[in-house]
Amino acid sequence: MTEASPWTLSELNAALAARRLSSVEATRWALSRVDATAMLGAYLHVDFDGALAQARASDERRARNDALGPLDGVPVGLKDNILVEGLPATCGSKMLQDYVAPYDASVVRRLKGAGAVILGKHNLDEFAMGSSNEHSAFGCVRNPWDTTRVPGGSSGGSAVAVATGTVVGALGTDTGGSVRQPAAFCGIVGLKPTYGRVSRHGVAAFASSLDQVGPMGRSVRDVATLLAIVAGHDARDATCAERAVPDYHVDLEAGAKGLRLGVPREYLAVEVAGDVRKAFEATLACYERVGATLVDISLPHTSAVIATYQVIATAEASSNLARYDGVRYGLRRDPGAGLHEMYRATRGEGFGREVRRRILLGTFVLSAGYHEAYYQRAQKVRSLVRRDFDEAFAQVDAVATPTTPSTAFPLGAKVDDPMGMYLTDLFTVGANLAGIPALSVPCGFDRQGLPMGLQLVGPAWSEARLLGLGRAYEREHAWHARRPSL
Amino acid sequence: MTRNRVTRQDTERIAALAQLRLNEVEIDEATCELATMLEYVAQLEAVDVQGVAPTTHATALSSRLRADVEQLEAS
Repeated sequence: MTEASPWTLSELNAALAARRLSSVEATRWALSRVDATAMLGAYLHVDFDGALAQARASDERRARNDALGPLDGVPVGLKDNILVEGLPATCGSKMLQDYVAPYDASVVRRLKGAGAVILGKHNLDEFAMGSSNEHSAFGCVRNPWDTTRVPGGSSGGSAVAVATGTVVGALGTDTGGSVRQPAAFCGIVGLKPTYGRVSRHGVAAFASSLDQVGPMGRSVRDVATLLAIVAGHDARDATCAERAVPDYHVDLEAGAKGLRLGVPREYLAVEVAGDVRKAFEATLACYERVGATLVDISLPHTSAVIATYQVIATAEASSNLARYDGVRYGLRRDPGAGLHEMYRATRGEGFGREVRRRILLGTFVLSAGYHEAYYQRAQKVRSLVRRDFDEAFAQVDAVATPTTPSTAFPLGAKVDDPMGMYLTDLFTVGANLAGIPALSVPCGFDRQGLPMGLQLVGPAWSEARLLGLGRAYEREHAWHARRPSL
Repeated sequence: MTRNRVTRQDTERIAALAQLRLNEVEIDEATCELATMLEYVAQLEAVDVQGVAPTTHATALSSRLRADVEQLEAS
């Protein structure tokens, strides 16, 4: 295979279906890309033998005309907080350095059921907490468009793996923008589905009322294909909705004509990099040209979203991460001074600085005397953020924003400035607080050659509409087809 | 303790609640970081939440019971 070989999932599937290419060839090519891009740090584990075995099985199915669908024989990867039976699941943490998953996450069962070749596990910020992938216990990830810069986070490894052609698609998780922000920074497409659209069973919990698994791919169509496979009810996740999964491909080419796009004025009032602002304005002009109507809207509680998110996400994290106590999972450090000292030593050593920081804030806002002032108040402001979106969707079909206020920042630039790091999620956390879907689509490159993202946010269960809108833009500007030179 | 002034003793109390062992340097760092973050989230005090119900979860789903039939494998 060469650089002219299939780039998107749909191209690869067509080549596999026409027997122009075998899954073993595609998988070997993917593994050679993993080697060629190893200095980016995107992979924590590569399942060399397992991937080739799955590829051979896929080729046999194809030879019998028994293919399992568009993902059969296609190399994909998973963020390392998603369990694959028999493979490590470190969550980017020293705490789980030697942990091997005893079962498949429900989304992994679905990928395997669709014949996907699972190539490996992707680096991430520890327990998915971060916006730069610098908070992994196993080293940072580098942006393939400029290796002195961050790839975004927390699904940074997955975004880089897709952008550099090591896998055709990946699953990340998105608690406050962790799929969309790295997708924007790396020039790929990423979707956070509606809360409850995709099962969280077998996915390490960070903030349970905000976490969703989201597909990442090289085109809007590829993301639609991945979503169609992983979406739907799962009896193993009590928060997974019993709601029919629509056909995400049927209206993909329907265009944007007649749709109303809301532009929240609060998002443009904050400091947005000049090139990002220009690209966003050009994107809006493109939507007008293809028949959409732009509507000036207001999301009045935008300035409070980061504070609301910080209180709720850290509170939930402090509770979820209580399970890592040296008894049931992973690392144990026992100074021989009793149970509590064993807990404290294990957790003090096993968690990295960012995770400790969030556990401490979360514990504080839930502690006696502060619960009402911080946690309950944040839950009320969350209701107001949801109401803002509800009111917007009474007027418009979707809301358009830049995915991020800036392009990828240099490694190290924000690592000692937690507040500055949190503020990079300003445009993405709203969708998590409201439980609604949001898509990031590449919308150009800045003067330094760094990718930029357009975010489309819709009401609950509107993934098909968002994908159609994203595709309407992608048809006009094929930014997604550009590849970093690595 | 006023809301935006965090002392080392506060950090030690919270670290004990969270079962985290921190060394002296880490306690100083965490005290400083907690203060910064609490100062930032204090902006929520300015939001009018009179009469607003809290959002306790992202979905209105409640726990359901399945039929009491033996299942070897959940679907």
